[in-house]
Amino acid sequence: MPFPEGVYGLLAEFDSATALTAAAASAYKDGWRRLDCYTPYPCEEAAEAIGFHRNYVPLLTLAVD
Amino acid sequence: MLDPITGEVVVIAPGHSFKSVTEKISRIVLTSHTPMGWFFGLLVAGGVVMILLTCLTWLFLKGVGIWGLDIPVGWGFAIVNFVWWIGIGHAGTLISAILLLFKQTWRNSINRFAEAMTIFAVVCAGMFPLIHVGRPWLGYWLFPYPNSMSVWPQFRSPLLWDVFAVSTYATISVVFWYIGMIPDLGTLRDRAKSPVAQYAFGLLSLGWRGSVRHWMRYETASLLLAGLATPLVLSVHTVISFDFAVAIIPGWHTTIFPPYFVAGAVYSGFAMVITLAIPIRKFYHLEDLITLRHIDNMGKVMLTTGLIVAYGYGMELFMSWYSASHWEYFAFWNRLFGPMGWSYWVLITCNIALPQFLWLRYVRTHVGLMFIMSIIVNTGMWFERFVIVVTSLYRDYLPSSWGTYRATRWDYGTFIGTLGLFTFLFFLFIRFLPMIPMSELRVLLPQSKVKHLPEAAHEAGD
Repeated sequence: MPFPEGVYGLLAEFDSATALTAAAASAYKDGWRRLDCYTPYPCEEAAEAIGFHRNYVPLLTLAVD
Repeated sequence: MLDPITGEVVVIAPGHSFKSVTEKISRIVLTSHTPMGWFFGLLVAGGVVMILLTCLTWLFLKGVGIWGLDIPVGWGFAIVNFVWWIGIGHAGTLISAILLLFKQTWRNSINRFAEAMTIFAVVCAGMFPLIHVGRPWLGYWLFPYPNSMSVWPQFRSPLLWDVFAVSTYATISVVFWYIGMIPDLGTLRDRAKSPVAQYAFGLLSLGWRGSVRHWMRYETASLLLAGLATPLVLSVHTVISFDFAVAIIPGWHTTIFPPYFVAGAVYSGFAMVITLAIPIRKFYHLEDLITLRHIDNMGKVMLTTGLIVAYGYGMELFMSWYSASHWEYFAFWNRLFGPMGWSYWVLITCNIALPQFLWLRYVRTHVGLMFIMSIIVNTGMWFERFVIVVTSLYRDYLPSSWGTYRATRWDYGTFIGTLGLFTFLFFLFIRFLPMIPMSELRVLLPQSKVKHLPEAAHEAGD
């Protein structure tokens, strides 16, 4: 995906969580890393698609996740 | 409306979209046309708060002698009300924490205002021990702090454990409530038209952007807080039951108190959630978000906890006979047939006999009947605490020390006043904060699910 110089970023809107997740996954597959998805409710699949990993805070507080 | 797969009533009435849910709930807060009914309710509740302020002022001027407290009944309405209120709070924590961990998604519609109910109930409850100490301006002596007077609380007393239990409970309830509200406060910030509302919600929403990273951290935080709050549902009322069970008074000194108090707390708490939910859903036309499924499920929880409480009563009676303790036996005979025996029969009628109608689905899904039932159970649970506190104390071992208990108008005034305070705070809450979690309702909608279709990957991404 070669973009012309001077493009700072790209914004896209999707109708459904399914489309958003698919787009995020393929962008990630193409090597893009500075991505974010904005959703009106928690969408775990989209977070995983852009490479979000849970950290160890839950473990430290001895709670099960 | 029945779900074709589960055969249950659906959690949210069909036909809702993300937009309609958001609009319906945020409009209640962001409207510039506050309904007249709200002002009227706030005014009435505020009037009752004035009764509370009057009673408290008089109490601070004259001392606890204005209450019906005397020897032998040194614990009266104040402790009855304290236990009753704190018990009511427990349903909120059960709904927000335990049902979250058990993935009971139907709770989503009712959890926010159940949590608010918890906080306001703890406010009312926490006041009673504080004003009962006689010199409330020295209330901080309850905490172990280094001082030059060598005044140190008695760590072996459950009354001190109570201080820690209730203050921990209040803290975690407020934190849980606030953290849960952040995404919705963000939504309100984005939708608010007036600069004041934008500024206030902007400040409260802590820069919430709705990024999936935010959401994942938010979900983890909710689970962690739920994990922390879950033991509190059980421990707070257990500690409160120790206030009684550790004493050697017949009728108090029993090991069944902790589980029986916890079940009673959840019982009365669910009754209070129903008492609040039914008028609210009617007034704000939220019947499609707080559906009959919620009323039905809460009725089932009430029935279950009510039966546990009934087992507790039964076991108390059995042990009074089986223990072969003369004093224990007399305490229960006195409780049933003594001069204040009427209070025990009120309790049995309200807590055990009448709630058996909850076995019928017709009753559980009939809004009017459930409202009446919730009032009955709340009354019954108040009498349970009255029976435990008063009928155990007024006739103990020595007949020469027997007495009686008569509540004064200040006792009644303070109790009614806290009902007003609770209602007053609740009116403010439903007007200024989102009373139903919008983000959690969106999750319940079928269109929120990610479908794994191979062609979806094709069309997107380029």
